[in-house]
Amino acid sequence: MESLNNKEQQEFQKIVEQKQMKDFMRLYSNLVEKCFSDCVEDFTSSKLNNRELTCISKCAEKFLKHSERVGKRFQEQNALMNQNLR
Amino acid sequence: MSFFINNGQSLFSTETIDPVKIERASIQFDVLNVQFNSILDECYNKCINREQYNEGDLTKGENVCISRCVTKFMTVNKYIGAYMRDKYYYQFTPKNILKHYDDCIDKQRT
Repeated sequence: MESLNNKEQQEFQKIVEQKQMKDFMRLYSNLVEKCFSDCVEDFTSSKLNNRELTCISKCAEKFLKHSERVGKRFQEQNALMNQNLR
Repeated sequence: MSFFINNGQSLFSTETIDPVKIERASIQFDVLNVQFNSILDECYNKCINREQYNEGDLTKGENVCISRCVTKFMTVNKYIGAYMRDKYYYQFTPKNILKHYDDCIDKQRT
């Protein structure tokens, strides 16, 4: 990445924080959709049954752990590629 | 005199902001971000058993699968980049691939 001066870095940080917030909201709604689609199938009642509830909490936990792992590996791979470019 | 100092930099610094550089950094960020989000989605669908959530933790198999999946996705990215550079260097440009953008600009003009 091109070197930015201090002022530019501050400006860029603001932009990244906005993007991060937007992305986080998107991630959240995707997670809801994913777990709803994978776990909720019974429409004989408007209440979530126990099976659905446990499925949803496992689904959410699984996704969080998944994204944590992907993030870690992604960073590693990126660092490796940047090294090879040099 | 901490008054004059703001995070180790002077309040009266003469540095200016170059919007072009900011825009470029922001595009580079977006590229990385899109890639990360595709990996997140792709590897979830390929590695996680979505039929049945037996546990919230990642299983051993899922862990291994995710690590390989991330590496492979990025390798595919690298290969396609190299392929396009080698074979279609002149054709593979935004202007050529996304021609409809120009149509939109033309329409705005008329």
